[in-house]
Amino acid sequence: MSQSGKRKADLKVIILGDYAVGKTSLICRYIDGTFRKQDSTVGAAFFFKPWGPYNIAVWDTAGDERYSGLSHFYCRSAGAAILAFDLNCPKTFESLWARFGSILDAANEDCLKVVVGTKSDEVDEKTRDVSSEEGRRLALELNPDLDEAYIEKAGAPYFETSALDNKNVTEMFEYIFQRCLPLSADQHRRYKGKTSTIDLLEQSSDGGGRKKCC
Amino acid sequence: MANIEIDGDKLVVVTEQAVHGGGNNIRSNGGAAQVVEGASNNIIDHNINLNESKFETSSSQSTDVDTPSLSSDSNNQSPCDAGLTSAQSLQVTEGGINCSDGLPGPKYKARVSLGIHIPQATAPPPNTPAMTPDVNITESKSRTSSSSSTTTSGPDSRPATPYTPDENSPCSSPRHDSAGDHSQPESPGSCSSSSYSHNLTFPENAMALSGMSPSAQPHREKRSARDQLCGVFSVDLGQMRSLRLFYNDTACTQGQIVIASRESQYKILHFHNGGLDKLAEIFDDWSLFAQETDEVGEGDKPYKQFLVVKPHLSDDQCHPEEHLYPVVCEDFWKLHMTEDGRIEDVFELRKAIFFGGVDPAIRHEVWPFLLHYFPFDSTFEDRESIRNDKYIHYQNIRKVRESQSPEAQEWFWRNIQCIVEKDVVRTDRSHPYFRGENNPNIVVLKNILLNYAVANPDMGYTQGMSDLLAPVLAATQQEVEAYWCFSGLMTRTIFVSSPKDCDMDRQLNFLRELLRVTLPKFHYHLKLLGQDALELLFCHRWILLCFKREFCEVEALQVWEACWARYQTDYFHLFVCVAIVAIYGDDVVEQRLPADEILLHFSSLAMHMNGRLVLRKARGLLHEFRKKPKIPCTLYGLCSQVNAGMWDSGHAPTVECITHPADEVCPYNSNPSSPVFGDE
Repeated sequence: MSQSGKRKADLKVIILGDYAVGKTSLICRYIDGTFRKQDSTVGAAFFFKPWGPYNIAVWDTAGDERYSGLSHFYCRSAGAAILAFDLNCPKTFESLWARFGSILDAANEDCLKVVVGTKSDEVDEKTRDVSSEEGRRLALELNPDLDEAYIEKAGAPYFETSALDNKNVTEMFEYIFQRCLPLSADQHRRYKGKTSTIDLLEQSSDGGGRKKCC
Repeated sequence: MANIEIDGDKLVVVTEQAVHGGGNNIRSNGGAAQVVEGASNNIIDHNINLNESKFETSSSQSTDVDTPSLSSDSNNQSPCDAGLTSAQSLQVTEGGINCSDGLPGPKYKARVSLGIHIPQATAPPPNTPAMTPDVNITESKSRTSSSSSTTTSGPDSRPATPYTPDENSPCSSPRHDSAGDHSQPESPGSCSSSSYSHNLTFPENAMALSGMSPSAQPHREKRSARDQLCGVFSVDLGQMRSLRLFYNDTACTQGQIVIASRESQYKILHFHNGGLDKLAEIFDDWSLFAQETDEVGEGDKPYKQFLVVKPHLSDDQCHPEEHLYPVVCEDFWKLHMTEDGRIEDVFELRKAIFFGGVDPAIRHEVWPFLLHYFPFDSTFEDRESIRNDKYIHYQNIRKVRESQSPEAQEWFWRNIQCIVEKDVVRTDRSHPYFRGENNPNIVVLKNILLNYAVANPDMGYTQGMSDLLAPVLAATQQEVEAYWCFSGLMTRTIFVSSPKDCDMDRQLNFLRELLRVTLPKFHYHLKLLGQDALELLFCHRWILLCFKREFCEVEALQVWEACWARYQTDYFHLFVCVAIVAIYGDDVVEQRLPADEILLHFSSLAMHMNGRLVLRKARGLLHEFRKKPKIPCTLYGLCSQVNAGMWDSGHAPTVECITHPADEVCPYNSNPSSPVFGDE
């Protein structure tokens, strides 16, 4: 209803993935700028994030949703989906196809699917089970509409993140926002101070080019 | 313009009024407030010596010490040294008033500040009365003029004197001038304290939010990186989405302030020892001039909101028998037990539990009955044999689990065990029973859940079960008993939803209808919003976790007991849902919040609602509902009882068939003889 939707989100981003892969931690790192142990998510949770002149709603879901009616609710009209898996647990990667592929049918047709490996701080390169190539491949498969020029320029929708070390988290979210609601360079400058919750102690992550992880 | 800042363990509210008219005339400089973030805030009314009530409030605070995790970021308890008497002083310098009620002890005066200083906590022993902090309230029109202000003191107060540091006092490093000096955070360690462990805190760099306002600039520049590290928290209240005050005592002095940013982050400040009312007055002023600025053309800030929730229910909203039942304590419980151990007059007992709850000291005795482990009419002897049988039964389940085939074990590990293992280590870890590294009770928690999944393969394990089990285990403190109580909780009460969608659907259907009948305005708002809103997303967690994450543990368990008592309805939890909406939902309708914001609204209230108030309201709603001569068919069965007592008048209203979707059969006509679903 327009009369009450005075602050309707311009973009709906959902995060999906197995239990305990770190979905809530990822969001909290981005929104709050902090890392802490999370309770298991039960029911729905969601956050607003301004992006330039836009409002973005980030929906957190339960990895182990008891009530299947909800999954479709989350996905309805989602403009982007973060498919999160634990880089140290291949099973959670397999789940992305198996569990969440079908759920995403309810999302927007052009829904951007971003594959995100979590807990990169715990990865031991020698023993890692899910390679960056595999993750990248899945990301490209899930987004057949992304043209090559864009991928060349902005990178594939695949990120390896660490909410603990604050690695690639902001980059990942901004990749999504910039893809779905592009801001001009001028807008970036104008809104930077307002939208960013970048930790001032960590000057490194501000501005500059987007660092790709793969 | 108003700012709120938290420096270490102190909250500083700085209000400055904008230049009006003359241009070169700074009309006023509002006031500034310093309040300690943490538990032991205490702003004392001038002229009133609160020496006695101080200890009363302190003891209520000690319950929080027992369950620090559940009272959110309030763990900064003050050292509890009852031997020290500190001063209570109040200094109001509004156009020159200084009041203090004098008690011996440290005293200081901070101009342009409303200040409360609390010594930084280390690890207070529970159940010790907390020290009452020193309190300063200073409001002044301008910093220069306040120097010439006159002082009015309360009858038994001593004149305000400039603060002299007292090394023996716990308040050894107060802030002399809150408005300007932010460079000396008192407690460098406090940012790592639990106040930041709650998931609704602002980021440490929240002052970025005030960047839009040039007048906030000076404050910002003064902040070094070290300030931030030490947990300085500062926001421009003018840029906030909402500021809400929740009183949780009837006198309206204690409670929480919840500040929500436009990014929907929340900061919650607790006032366990009073003083919130004083701060409210200051906020009220702020709220007024916030509206003034709105008129000047900042119409793009429609989110500002100043809400005060007072825990008041008029008598006609309450159940008529509301105050007749005290907590069920050991004596009362023993009264209901015959010599051979049978429980007599179960209905009366359940009614008492419904109204008064169970004394935590006898929960381990009472819960096994409420959770169907022991029948009420069992004798001591019967119970001994049940205990034996169930012990053997449990051991057998354990053996089954441990002797699974390798394939089955592999499956079990992948689908159950690894979820359970991830969940138990993050369940109620701040509860004393589960606290600390390598706590053996975590292993017990895990084993019970694994065994339950083996014995109930159709239920298995779903997230949230650990949340439900933890309090049961903490109450019984015994693995086998906890298992069977948990088992009763999961399978024999409809209060807990099983993972099946149809159970949740039924609950939500009832809830929607109950909302429609009892809170038509709220329901109408949801209806206008459409199907998404009618999904009642904001209630899902309430129902799935039985309000465990909505109220602090003490109150949540009282809600559980009121539900388990099954007095007059098996669906009391739905009345609790409606009560929450009734008390805290006005905003939703008034501001016409969209569906997702309704969820945000209620999740921001989690752990900050007044559980006792909600319970009272819920009991009142139940009474009201049962008085209705006519109910719609969609609510048929809500109050039909499986085992009503002989004194219960029963509930037999006229059932009216209303329109329900064509593909659905009328719940009444299809099944008029057995309205109660589920168990027994």
